[in-house]
Amino acid sequence: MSGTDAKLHKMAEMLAEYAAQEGESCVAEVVEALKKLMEPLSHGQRQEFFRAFRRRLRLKLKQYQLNIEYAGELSDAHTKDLVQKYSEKVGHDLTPVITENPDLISGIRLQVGDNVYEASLAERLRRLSARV
Amino acid sequence: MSSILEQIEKEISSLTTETKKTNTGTIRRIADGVAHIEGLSEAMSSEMIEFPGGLYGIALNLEEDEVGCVIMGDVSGLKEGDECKTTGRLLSVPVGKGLLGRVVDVIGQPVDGKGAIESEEFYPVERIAPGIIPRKSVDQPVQTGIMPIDAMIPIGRGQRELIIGDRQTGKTTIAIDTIIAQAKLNREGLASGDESFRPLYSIYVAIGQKNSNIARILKTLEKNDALEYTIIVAAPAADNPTNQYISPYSGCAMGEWFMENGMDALIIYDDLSKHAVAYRHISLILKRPSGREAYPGDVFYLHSRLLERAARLNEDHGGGSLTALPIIETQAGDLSAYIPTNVISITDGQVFLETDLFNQGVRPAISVGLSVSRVGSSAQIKALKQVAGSIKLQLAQYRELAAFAQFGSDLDARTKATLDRGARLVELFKQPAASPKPVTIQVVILWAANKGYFDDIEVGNIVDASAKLSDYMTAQKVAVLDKIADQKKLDETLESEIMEAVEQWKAGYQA
Repeated sequence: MSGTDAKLHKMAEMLAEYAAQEGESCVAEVVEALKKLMEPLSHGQRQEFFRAFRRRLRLKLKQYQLNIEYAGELSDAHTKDLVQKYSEKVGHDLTPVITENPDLISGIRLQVGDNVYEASLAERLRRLSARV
Repeated sequence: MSSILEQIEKEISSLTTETKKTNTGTIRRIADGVAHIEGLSEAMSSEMIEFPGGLYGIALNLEEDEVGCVIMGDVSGLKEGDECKTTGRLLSVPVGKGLLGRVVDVIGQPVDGKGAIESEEFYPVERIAPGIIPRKSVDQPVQTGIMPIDAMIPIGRGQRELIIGDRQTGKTTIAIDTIIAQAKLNREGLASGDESFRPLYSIYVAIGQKNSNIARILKTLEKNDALEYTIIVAAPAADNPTNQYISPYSGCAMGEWFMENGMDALIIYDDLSKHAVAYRHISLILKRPSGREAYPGDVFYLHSRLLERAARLNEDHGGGSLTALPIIETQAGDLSAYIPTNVISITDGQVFLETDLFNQGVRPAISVGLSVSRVGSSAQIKALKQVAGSIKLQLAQYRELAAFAQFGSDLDARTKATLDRGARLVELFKQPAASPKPVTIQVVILWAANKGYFDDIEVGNIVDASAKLSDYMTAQKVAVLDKIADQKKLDETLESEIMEAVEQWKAGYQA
């Protein structure tokens, strides 16, 4: 990677981090910043920069989201408790995205960034079938 | 039925209820068995990655925001957006004696339709080679049963000896004949009840070979009762490059089990040229920088780390050994190409096969001048060393003089004698496939050749005479052969017994 490319990737990283942290409230600001940053770049560099930004934003958004899939019951208090616990674990606030997933049969599956934490009956059955 | 229920009950009772953490990623691009994955931030180098449909891959490229992964098996069911996860494990294969007599794929699964393989131990395919301390010098021979090799290019247990040559020069035949010879020796040795006898188990790794070739080899081994001491690891040409890339490491792990458990094993990589091509394929798709002949920069390390795993361990570490016979195919006899020079520099010698010799009917078509064994001579039995000591030189002189003799007819007596002896030696070293010669017979034949007992036999009858001498010794002079095997060196008494036996044979010999 050349020096210019490395610089572009670093800028894309910082902008994606900011966008993921601030959420929807900063969309206009980020778009403006993107325009300004891309203005002096060549066509190829713009494409490279935008690709890097998009990839990093996707990853960062995942890191600021707590995807909760459940089967059975999930109370508000339990959700709040989970968000608080995992926010402490990753060191920043998380936004919960809750989905009901009957495939789990019973239990819960959480995802923050790349990491998945699963405590469901479906997962235990998978483990059992792998061992028998 | 009840045992299945019992097993399920046992497994249920041992199931833990803790939360399971996995690290996941999403396939962004997939082509030619290589997937580029977004995520997998905690993936380790060479870690096994689990894909949907029970497929596994290996993380090869760990980049800032992407992981490059080679996938084993049929990738046609995978698509962009599919989720995969880390397993925390390195690719491992089953090892042990349960694999003997079987044909397995790159992950040790049987492909011969003979049912499941009984194996409780697993070894990772990628392991660090034994260091300096556990090693020992090569001091025990691998009797290939191929006379030119045993006499002039001896191979020791723990050695790496390259078999190199153009296509269709008999490289695989040498390897298979060696396996057949080991099986024969194993059977005889185990039947003799000799407690000091160490059987040599064989592993044949077929990399990028045609399925028909593998089937032919399997049939040859079965026909010669050699399969029971052999494991075949098949990564045929129809397999994806990932399987072809991993197969030698899988076979090596199987061989290491024998070595680390105080036994001896022989592994054949057929061939490493195709292995390098498969690795180049993967590397180019992973967008690794390419170098000479488009191979990646680490193609030397690819083979050196594999061949360094062949070793002879000292007694403190069980005294086992793993001998490697890698095969390299050259193009138009060019030894100076990239991959051949790499592997020549890694190994402890090479057996070079020449197309011209093969076409002249000299089979095995071993070029004596270009073949060498750097460490094997210390493993050669003394009797063979005594009779074969000057043969390599005599043959080299013959080749040189034969080239000049073509231009003139007036030759002095000494030159003519060298040419006559050389022509007979060339004939003596001819040997059909799958017919290994015991070392004791080799000693007698070479002794007779050195003493000139073949000099008055027509060159065209030498092969027949050699076979007849061999038959005579086996049938009539077993005691002499046994004495050679026991003493392992020739003294005056033994030489006179050999002389007596050879003269008796010569007296009754008729072409």
